[in-house]
Amino acid sequence: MFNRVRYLVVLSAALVGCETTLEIELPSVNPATVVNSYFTPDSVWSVHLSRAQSLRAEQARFIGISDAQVTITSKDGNLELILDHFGEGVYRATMTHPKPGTEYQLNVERFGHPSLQAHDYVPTEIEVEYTYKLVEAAHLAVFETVYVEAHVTVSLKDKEEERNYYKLVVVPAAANNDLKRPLLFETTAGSIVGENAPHYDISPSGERLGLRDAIFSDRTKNGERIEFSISFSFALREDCYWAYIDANTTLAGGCSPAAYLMHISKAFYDYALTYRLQRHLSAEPNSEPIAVTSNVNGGVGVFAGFVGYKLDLK
Amino acid sequence: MRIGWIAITLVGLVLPLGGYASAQNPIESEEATINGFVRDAESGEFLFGAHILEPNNKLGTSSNQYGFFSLTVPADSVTVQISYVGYAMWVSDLYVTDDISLSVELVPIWKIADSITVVVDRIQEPSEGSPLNVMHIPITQIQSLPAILGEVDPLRSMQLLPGVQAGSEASSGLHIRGGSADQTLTLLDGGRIYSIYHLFGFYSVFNSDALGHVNLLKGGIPARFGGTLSSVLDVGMREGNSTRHAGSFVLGAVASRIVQEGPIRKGLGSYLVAGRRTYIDVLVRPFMEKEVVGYRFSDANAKINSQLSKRDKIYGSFYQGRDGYSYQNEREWSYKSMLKWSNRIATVRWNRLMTNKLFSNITASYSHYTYRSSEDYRSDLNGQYAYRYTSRIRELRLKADLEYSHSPRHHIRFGGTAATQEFTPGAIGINNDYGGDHNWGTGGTRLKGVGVALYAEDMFIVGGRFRINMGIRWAAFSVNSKLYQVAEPRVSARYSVLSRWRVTGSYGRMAQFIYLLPNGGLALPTDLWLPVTDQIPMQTGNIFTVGLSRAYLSNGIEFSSEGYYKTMTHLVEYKNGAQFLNQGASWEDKVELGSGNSYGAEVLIRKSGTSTNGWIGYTLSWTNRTFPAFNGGKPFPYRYDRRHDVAVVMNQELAEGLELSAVWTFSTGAAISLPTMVYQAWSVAISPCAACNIEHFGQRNQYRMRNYHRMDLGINVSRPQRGGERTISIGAYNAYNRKNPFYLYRDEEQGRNVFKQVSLLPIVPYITYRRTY
Repeated sequence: MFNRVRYLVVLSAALVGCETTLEIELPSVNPATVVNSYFTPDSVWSVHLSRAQSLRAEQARFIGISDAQVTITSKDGNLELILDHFGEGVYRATMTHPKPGTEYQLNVERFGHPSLQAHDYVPTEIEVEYTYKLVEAAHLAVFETVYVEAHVTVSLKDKEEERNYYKLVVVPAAANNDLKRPLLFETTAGSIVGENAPHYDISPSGERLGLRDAIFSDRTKNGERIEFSISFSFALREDCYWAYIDANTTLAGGCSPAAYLMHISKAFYDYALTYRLQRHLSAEPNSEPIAVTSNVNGGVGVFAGFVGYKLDLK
Repeated sequence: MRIGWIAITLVGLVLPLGGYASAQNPIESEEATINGFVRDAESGEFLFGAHILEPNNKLGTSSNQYGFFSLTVPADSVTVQISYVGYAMWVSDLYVTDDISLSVELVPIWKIADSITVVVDRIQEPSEGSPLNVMHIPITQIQSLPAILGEVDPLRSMQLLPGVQAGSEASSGLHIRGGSADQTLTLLDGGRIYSIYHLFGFYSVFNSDALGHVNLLKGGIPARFGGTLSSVLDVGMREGNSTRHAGSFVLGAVASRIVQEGPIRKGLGSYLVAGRRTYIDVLVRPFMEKEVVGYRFSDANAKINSQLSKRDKIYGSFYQGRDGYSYQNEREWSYKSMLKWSNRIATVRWNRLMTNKLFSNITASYSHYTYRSSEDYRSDLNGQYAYRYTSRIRELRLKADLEYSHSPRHHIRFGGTAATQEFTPGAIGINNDYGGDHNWGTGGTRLKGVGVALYAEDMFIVGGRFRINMGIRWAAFSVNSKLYQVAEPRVSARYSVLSRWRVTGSYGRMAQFIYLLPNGGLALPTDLWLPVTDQIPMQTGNIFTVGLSRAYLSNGIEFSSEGYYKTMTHLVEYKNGAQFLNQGASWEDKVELGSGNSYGAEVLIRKSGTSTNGWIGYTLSWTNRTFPAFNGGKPFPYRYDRRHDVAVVMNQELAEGLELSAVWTFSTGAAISLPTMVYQAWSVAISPCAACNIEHFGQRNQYRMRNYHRMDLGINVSRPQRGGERTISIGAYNAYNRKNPFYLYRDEEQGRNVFKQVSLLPIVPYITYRRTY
């Protein structure tokens, strides 16, 4: 409803107002070094380095930084790892994985530039249980497509003594969506823990379409079991559908979307939250712009750990 | 008399200077009190703020809101002058040996034949403080100024005064000397109004035809006013014509309004009823079929008064304003949504002249603001979704104000107030089977607050040139079984230098127990009023002013200037991106606390007269906020920080019945935050897109929008008609079609970043027809 109010105001403005392109003299800024690194026990270490672009630049080109020395060290002293450059600013380890419950530090040294540091941890593992139900919503023979509704019930239990943060997305099956843009979904997760107004995708007429992600913490449920539901619908190719029927309510691997629950660090949570807010509020007049938080000293971006739990529907 | 001495004792305890001034008074032994009422000879309405002067002894006072005055003079031959802007001065030589009562009727200038020379009063100068602290625009002047689509709005006229900011383009908001909108206490006939806007701030709730006075107190706020950090907007409805039945109606492009008034009980009372309604919804409905969108607002004002005895008078007034927006779509699915918000204020006041020197006013008021919204979606395919949201605030207030004219050199006021407030910040109900079979909802928290306040103030004269108003207010507020209390000392002083120059100064400690949680810079009906809690402390502030003014330059021109410095603590802002609609979360978890300051200087040159009147106002100001959670904890310019602000207002009578009005305003562009860099966020399946761009912001509000300026022009053509007058007003808002900025956004054109400015109102012509009878 709040969006509707704003929509109404903006629409009124658009009806009577007009637009002018302005030349605003922005100060010259030295483009910062950008760190993008999410680390999880399921993947090897990976850090992407690039340069931010001044808004005065004629063309926005985000060039990867290839001449840096990137080092990961663990706080317990068990790890000191220099990452190799794999091209276009991507630095990786070949074998080593982060470990749950461990704190790490990133160091980036680059000749002629100030060094960067960031530190974060991989959250501890939690108990996750889930059940799901698939319901055929519509069968469009012309397009050889079946629309299916998925209802997933999730129950999770985390450590009592620490604050825990979560992010939830629904990722499509690779066969169905090459861009891998998260699917729209509905969930009760945010309302259960009472935090962070969900940001729904809204149609041009103001209709609520669904969520692309849900970000929440256990602030009001510390130590308790958290239960919530996720609902989403997706299009299924007919061949996947028949396989699904034949296999008795089980979807083949290439056909199945999946809910993805991430147990994330505080830095990840702050970054994801402010990032999402900036995207959603950027089109709203009169709202204060949102500065995306960063835990990178000497640069911008994020160096954040998480543990992922894929809730497969197969 | 006993009550008066109790008041003196109370004031004397807290105001040592009061005792000093009293001891210096050489004329206490043989004196007499002249009291009475000042009213308009044409309508019989009481005049608020009329000057009563005894020039030989340099004594003076002014009439209060009910037209009452009391002036103690030496028991001898005296000259009494009574004046009010727009009226001929009343002068009389009296020989007083004992207390006397007067009933003075001032004749409007327009009623007096041209051949008669009349003494025209200078601009209303407040009896205390400086002209820039207590500001007043006559309703007749407000009605003659150009208006958006011809809909006259008193608040829009107040925005033209120094130290008053509108907020955003076309908004009726008042941001006084760097304060936010909730720091202005708005009173209608003594009852508090919590939402003063229609149509998202385009218009205020005040129907100018029903109003008698609009006063704005920006500094040197006397102790009788409390519960506000920055200013008081004191609006009073007219009492109605007590001599004959009369009325008027106005036909405009957006709305029409009507007023009917007249005497009751053979001149011992009067009534006034007024109504206003927009008709956009009615006009657009024939053009809509499957989709129906409608918006309307309406106001109803009513007031009645009755003289119960020579010493008692009772008033009843009522206001109700409603806004409604609806949208309905009937296709393969059905969708309905509604927004409704309303204000309701009822006041009953009892005036009693207890003695010739003691006047009392008892006010009981009820104020109610409700906001409701709903959505209903039904589809055979997707099921149904229904949503309800309600927020509300209710207030019941009892107030007693007493004025005691102890001597020519002491005018004492004291009183108290008690109020209960009920806050329901938001109750949400959702019925949802979209994507599941679950129904859920959250109830709104209901909070009850009880507030009491006591005050005493003494306006006294030291020597012949020093006039001081010193007072103290004690206020307490209880909510959630916790008591919050504060003492607010207030002092304002005026020193007359030479014949007409005045040096003024004031200090006021201010406190506010409730605050508004606004959603951005627009005046949305979803903005919530909330009380202090354990986590959100009482807001406090200090206002210092010092000024210099000259009462009368030449040709009715006055000059006044003032500097001010203001501090504010425990200001509230939403956390980044937080919104009012957040199921399950407490509002206390959604806000950040900070502080602010504001300082600057204001200059006003004002001209009064029968054929030419108006003013030039200029403000130079700085307003900053400091929030630990924003801008790295460093101070940043407030959204409504404007370095320069200019307003030129002129009414010129070109010929009999032909008047030209012009307004030109200029202000420095609004402070905004703009990105300085952009960078990529990488991560497939974690981000909403594969490689999205993030905007990096530097300091908060470090840039400025383009400067704002516009000119409004209007011509009023009046002709006498049988039993009244008709006036046709033609004009244009933003006459030279300036594209003023409403907001900016970043866009890309040919791979290059550009900022685009959206403007709201181009040139908007208007025509209205007004008929009085």
